[in-house]
Amino acid sequence: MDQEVGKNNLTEGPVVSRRAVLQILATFGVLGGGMFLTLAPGAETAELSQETVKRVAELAGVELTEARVKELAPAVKGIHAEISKLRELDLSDIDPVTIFSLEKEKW
Amino acid sequence: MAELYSYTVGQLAELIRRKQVSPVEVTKSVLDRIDQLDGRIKSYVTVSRDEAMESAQEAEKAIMAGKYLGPLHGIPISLKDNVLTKGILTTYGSKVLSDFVPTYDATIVERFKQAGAVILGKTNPHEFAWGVFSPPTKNPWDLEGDPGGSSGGSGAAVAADLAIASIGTDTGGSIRIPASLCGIVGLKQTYGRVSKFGVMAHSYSLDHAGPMTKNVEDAALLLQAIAGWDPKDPSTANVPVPNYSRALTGKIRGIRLGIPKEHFYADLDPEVQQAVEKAINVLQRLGASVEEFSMPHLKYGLAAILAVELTSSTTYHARYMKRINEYQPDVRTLVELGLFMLATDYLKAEQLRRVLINEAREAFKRVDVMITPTEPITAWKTGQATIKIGAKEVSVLDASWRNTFPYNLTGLPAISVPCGFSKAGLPIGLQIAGKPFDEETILRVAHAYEVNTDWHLKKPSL
Repeated sequence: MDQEVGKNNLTEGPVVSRRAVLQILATFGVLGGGMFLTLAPGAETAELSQETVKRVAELAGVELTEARVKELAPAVKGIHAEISKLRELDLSDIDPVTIFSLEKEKW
Repeated sequence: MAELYSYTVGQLAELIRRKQVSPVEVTKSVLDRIDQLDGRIKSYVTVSRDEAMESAQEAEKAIMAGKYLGPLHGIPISLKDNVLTKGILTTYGSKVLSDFVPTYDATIVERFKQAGAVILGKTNPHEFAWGVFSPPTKNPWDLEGDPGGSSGGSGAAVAADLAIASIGTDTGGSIRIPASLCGIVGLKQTYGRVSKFGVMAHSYSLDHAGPMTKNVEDAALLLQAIAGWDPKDPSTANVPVPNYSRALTGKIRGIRLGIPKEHFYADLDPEVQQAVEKAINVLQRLGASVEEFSMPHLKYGLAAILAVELTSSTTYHARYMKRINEYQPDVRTLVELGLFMLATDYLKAEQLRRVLINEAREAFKRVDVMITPTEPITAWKTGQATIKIGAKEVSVLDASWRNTFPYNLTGLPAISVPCGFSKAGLPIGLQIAGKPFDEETILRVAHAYEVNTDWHLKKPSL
């Protein structure tokens, strides 16, 4: 699944530019201008396939119309650009907070 | 004598205990105020008038019979419309739930009822406590202004004296943001301190339900009633609940105030910066010292909260996916976006939360509380997308939760108290955060600040 959303496997369908991402996100008010400024380096040239968005939705069991896929693809791209910042981090020695119980931790 | 609707919980509790004021009089006063003003403020989805008057009459009878239950007995409070109330419409601000009437009470509602509180009704949230577009609620300080969210109805209701106190929920700042923008007190206690059983989910490990009040004393009183382990909610902690009111000594000599080096003080409205600096000076004059601390990984915080919030919110919404066309466009987009989160990114975000908790733990070796502005800006106009801070144009959405979401990621307790007004007359909030389950210290510092200033006494002209 992650390969399908990754940059190297997105060759089908129209290329979505960063400008389009920003316009769509602004239209929906999903993300603000401050966040646009923090889009990950390289986001401007990355590509996202509408076909990929459609396939991921299908795998998740959700039906999206062609029009909705077209609307959503740039937003997915924008969110991934922000979240991909986490991938810069080496947290291999860190246990995730899967069970969140602060009372069991020493302070 | 001022109108009863304008009193605090603490003031009314004393009058009710002495039988100088009846819960029926208080409830009627607030309901009349709602009739008079809420057509303009639009803070309520549902006003449960008959149930409220019935509860008030029962409280009056009990008190006259010598069965006084404590400081919430006979006090009219409202609840955000994502808190389940048996027999009272609970919409979560959505058309999808426009006719949903729960068959049981949330644990916090049960506890309020056990304490004798009167449930006034349900306040307007953002749809499903998500999204960008505000509900119709107006900010009482500027009727063209946004009250913030997602507990904007509760914030506006308390600020406009349409409830003596209220309960909001907070996943990225939704109690503290409207508290700051509406000039009231908002407390998000430690994750696990208060039961979420019967509080409709938004993002399981980030959600909190907590008090929104006219002053710090009232926040302590409400927290006292709802805090504590709940066998129905596995996320609650079996940690003893102290007497919060006893922490309100007014004394903070020797308290170490932590000022963060990163994140919280960037891109502040100059009027906010000035108000917060003055507030810190007040605390220093009361005997607190100031120490800087660092949480360098907060620069990844936005990515982490998006990964966690989008993923878990979409998981919750799976049950309504077939009706997603009925959602507001912004909420629908956010819910659909959650489908595209990678499990590996989600877990990386949970790893980052551990890093942030570790950094906070290190900071708390040197400081007792963290002091920041609650909001970098004051209330924006309804529908306004960006705002200028100096020469920089920033998104109001981005700014609005920047200083609040770190305490959802870390689960630490944080309170917002009024600390000034802009030249345009809009409230400014001071955020005080503390160690896990140490609500006493943040309440103590907030209360000491409050009793040495008068920002919390100011009321909007309505």
